Amino acid sequence: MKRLVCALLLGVGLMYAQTSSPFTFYIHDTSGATPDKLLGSSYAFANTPQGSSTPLVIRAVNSSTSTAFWALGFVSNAASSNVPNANFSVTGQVVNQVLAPSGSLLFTINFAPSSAGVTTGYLRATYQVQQGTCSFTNGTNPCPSGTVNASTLTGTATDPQLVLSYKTTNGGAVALQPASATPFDFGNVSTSSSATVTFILANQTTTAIATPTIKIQTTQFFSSAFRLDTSSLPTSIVGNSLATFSVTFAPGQLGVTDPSTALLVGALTYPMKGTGVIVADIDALQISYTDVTPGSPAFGVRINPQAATAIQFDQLVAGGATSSIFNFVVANPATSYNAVAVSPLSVSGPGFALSGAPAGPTSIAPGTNITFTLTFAAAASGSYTGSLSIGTRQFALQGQTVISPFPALSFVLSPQPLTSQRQATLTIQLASPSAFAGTGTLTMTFVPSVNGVTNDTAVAFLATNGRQLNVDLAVGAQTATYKGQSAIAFQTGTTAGTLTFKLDLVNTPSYSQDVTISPATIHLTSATAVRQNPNLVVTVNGYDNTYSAGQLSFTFYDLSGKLISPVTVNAATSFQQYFSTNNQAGGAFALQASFPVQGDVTQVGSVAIGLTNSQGQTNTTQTFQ
Amino acid sequence: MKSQLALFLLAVVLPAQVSAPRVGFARFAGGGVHAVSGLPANFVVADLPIARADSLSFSDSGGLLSHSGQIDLVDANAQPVASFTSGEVAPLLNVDGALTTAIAWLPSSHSILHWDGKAFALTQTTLDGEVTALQRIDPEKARLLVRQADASVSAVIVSLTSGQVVDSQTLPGMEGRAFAQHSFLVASNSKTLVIEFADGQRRVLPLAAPDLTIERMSSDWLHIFSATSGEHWALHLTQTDLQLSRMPPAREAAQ
Repeated sequence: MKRLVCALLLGVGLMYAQTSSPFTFYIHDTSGATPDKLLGSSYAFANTPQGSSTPLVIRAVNSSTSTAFWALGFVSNAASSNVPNANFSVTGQVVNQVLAPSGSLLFTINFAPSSAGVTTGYLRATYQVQQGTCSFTNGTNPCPSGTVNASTLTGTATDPQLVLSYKTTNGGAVALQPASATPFDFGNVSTSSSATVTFILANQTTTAIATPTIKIQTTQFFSSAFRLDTSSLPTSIVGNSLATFSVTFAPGQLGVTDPSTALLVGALTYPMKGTGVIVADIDALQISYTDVTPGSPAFGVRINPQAATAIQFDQLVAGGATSSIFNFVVANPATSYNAVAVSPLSVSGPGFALSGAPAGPTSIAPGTNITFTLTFAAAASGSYTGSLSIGTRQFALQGQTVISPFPALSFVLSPQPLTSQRQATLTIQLASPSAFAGTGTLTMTFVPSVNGVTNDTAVAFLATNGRQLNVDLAVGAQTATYKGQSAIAFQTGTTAGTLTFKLDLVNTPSYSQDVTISPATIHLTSATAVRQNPNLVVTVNGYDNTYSAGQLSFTFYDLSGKLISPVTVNAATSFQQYFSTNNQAGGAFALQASFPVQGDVTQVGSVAIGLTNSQGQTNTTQTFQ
Repeated sequence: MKSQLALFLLAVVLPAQVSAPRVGFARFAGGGVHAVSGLPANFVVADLPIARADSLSFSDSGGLLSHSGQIDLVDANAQPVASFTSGEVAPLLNVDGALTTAIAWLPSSHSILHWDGKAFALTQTTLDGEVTALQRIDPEKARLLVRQADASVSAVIVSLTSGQVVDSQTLPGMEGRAFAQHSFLVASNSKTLVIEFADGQRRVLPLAAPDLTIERMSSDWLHIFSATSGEHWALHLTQTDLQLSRMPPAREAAQ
């Protein structure tokens, strides 16, 4: 690092013309609670124990009107020196970055004293400024450059408290600096092997100190190649004593680990890295899987598993109908010299199953791959563990099933019983106020009971004219809502059949309820009888939810109510043609019957209409207009 | 009795005509005009729009559609009959019977457009107030419902030949935006829908929405909707029937 800075600054100083700094430096609050504050010409860190660190986040803003090039920020030993100060580190910095006017970047200065007493460092930054046609990168026409002294930093190292060190192979201990720009390196390890390092937490005070929380930092959806074992750590470390824990590097992938990986000890960060390498042929296999579990938050995410971290299946509802499904690909790179025999290819552990793998002994030639599927499902709630063996490559498996966090659900339908041609409401009722907020999907399906009929398009939620809604459950609520409404309105259509309502909530078995719309006699919604000399025209609107209407009867009466004559019409063919030909209206129909008259139509006073379907006859009487 | 027997001699040979019960045409969010069929409380809104419109009015015989300053007269199957370029952003349209009842109020020019059976005719008026509905009540006259500044409603009869006001009466007790349907008056405010019968009786329906719009879907059906809430209703209003139902939106508008 020292060599790098020196080389850079020498080059800048010799080759480029000096110019005034385009940068202004601010103290930045990453929580956003307070606005940026101008960094003064001097800054004093809080007293910090040896072996610990205190961070300071800086925002460097290009406050000039020219584009600037941020080369490097560093903390030196002296105001004119390029030698880094060992008690300070700079992390999170993106070097060699072009910044437009008003552009900015963030980095962190860590005061991590390794020796006691007062320490002074100098925050410096090297840069270039765009002028004319100059180039930041082309040495023949370089832009003017410079090094700015941003602030003089002081810090006092107090007596050490908890100091982290690691145990070397010969049994010695080497102290680690937190927030170091140089990660702790586990070295090269075969993808079918592992390396374990024991870390020591030393309490260098005379009183007990609570053991800090220790974690491994990884990126979301990344499988960590490091496994932490803190089982031997006490809850507190007595004065002047030690406690140990271990970290195992067990790579499942080739190459250097994710650069964001770090060991977190309380508020202190210790970057770590390791490199997966090939020792045996099987180490070359590239193993990945994709979560294809319906509804999973990680659906479609491709993950490269690491042997150090168990493959975690999606959390399921105990006894639910779904499984967590991962599709695996095991590839032998084209750069491999040999085919790799994969034996065994197996899975163990209750709840886990392997399918779709090639039959028999498997060998993967260079440039080819095999695929298979792992599933997890379990009837009882709890945690499940298993193991996947791909030859000598081993991966732990974990699955979990839970019981719904929501109270028992029920549907309340109004009115009851449901019949055709109704606008009814459904309310999703909880047995008690919900302790959690959630969202769910309410689905309505309809299966007609009429032979040959597959749907009735009028069956729909009124808010959307669809059959699926997303509903909300609020904390403390005892009903779910759609756009704030508890009573969710829907149409029942005009076809006999079964309506099924189903609610799917996260981590909850689907709840469903069937409602039968019973076959009924023909229902009339309106009828008219009109004299249109020389015809009598009878019009009837209504529905037949059995699609079986056939026999019609019309009995005419004179103005005094005296029977004139009954007429029967077999309209079965007309109805069947209507119901079966591009029917979009379900069992709803409009019927018009016209009766030619030879005589005085004004003498006809009324008509009694009868319509018959498989459930019986419906009658109405209309007076002629 | 002999003539009565002859009366029904041919009845049995005529097939009954069965079809989908037609409700009319309605306009949904985005301006799509969709055919609506079904019964009260059981509506089927066709998936595909037949046209786009900024406003519309349909009877069982045909309708008027306004889109981008053009007013189209269409028949019962929504096929074009005639067009008029009005340049009017928000004309008020009405067709409540035969195509000769087609009439429109053009607020920016204070004029009345009507279809005389062969061509559109334009009549200039000097009417004040906000016209909320109009009807062609005979070949020479139109009745306009006008909301006055104090929210009261006046029924104004205007000559279609001269544009002069022939008669004007305040409708006692009516407030807000009034709409005429057969012999009924329908008035909406932000809380209720008031229906006044010809004999002065009133029914109040609880229909709370800040911005109700009423458009005629067919001779007997009105489409009532709120742009802000996205809710739709269908009112079947005839001399013998009054039924208010919710109506689902068109699926394309509900996306």
